[in-house]
Amino acid sequence: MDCKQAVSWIHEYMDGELNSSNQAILDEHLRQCSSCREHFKELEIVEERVQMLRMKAAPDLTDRIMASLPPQQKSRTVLNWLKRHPALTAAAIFVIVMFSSFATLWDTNEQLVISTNEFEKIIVDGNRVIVPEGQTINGDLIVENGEIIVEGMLLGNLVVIDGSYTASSANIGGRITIVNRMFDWIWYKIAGWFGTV
Amino acid sequence: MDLYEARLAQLARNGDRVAFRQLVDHYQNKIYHLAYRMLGNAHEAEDVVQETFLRVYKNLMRYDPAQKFSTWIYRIGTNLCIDILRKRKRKRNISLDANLFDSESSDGYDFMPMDEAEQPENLLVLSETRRQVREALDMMPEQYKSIMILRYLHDLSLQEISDVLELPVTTIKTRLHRGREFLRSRIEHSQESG
Repeated sequence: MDCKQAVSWIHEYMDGELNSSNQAILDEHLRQCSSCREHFKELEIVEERVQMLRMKAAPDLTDRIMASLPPQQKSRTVLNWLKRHPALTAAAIFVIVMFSSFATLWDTNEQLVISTNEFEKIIVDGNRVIVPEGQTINGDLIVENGEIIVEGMLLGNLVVIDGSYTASSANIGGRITIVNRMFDWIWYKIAGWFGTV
Repeated sequence: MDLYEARLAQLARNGDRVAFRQLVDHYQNKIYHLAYRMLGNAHEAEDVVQETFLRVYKNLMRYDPAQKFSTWIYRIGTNLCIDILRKRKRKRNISLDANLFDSESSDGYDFMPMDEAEQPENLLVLSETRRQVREALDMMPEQYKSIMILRYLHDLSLQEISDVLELPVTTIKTRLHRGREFLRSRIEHSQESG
């Protein structure tokens, strides 16, 4: 082994990367070559001396560091969450836009609205809508802003929007849907769309 | 330990200042020693420590818990030091060109290094040895100096240094070997030979 190779291996050895069989070869060379032996010794001294520059003392900067941090913002966590979930953020914005477009359609008036094909069979008293006993409504009944009392029979669906109903479920043949909030109303509309498509 | 640190960083990211304070407690000495050795000046070292933690805090959401926290914080600290050294070199070159004798200290030291000042006067040989090593280290280009400091004063493995500096391990090895040879050439060995 030549001295150039030996010095390269000395460095490998110091990095802990020289395998044991090569260590034996290097050791054999160092025993015979005094100049490489000297080189190795000097490098070992270099390592020791550099390590002498280790320090123990350091000023405590904790308070200074903590004081330098920007003030905590409440929205920070929300903002961070949004930044980390761009797809969900886009979806959320989409929902918000859709929601607000529905909101413009949302009719806030409190007027009683009744939708049925068999208007003659029901009794309207103020905001009360009564299906009297003995009467049978074959289609659907939709009542908005009212109180529904079903004493007779309703074979279709009953939809109650922003109101209440009194009925034995045995009297109603179809589904009963109660829509009380804007969100439910939107959902009802969406479900309606999908139902008609 | 790494898991604990990753957890701390997660907590700190959610705005938990107590958790962040623990990170500061654990790492400020390491970053201070790194900066002090890189820059040779206590005042600048303190600024680097503060700036490092500020950057950590601001970028916590970009921290990937799969990565070791120590690697990340060492990277931020080392890069800050390297930037300062480069700026200083540029400035020194300009001032040397402008007025060769205006510079207050010819070797570039603005302050007496603290460990030197604390050294008792009777330890002449020991402090002389330290001065020699320190000066040799300071002569090295920053990309060599940082490797020597991380390896010998912070006990980082070659792989860890490679992660911190974002350089291949082979590059770290080559620079470490050259760095050791450079220091060997600068340090007097007369009393050890024989």
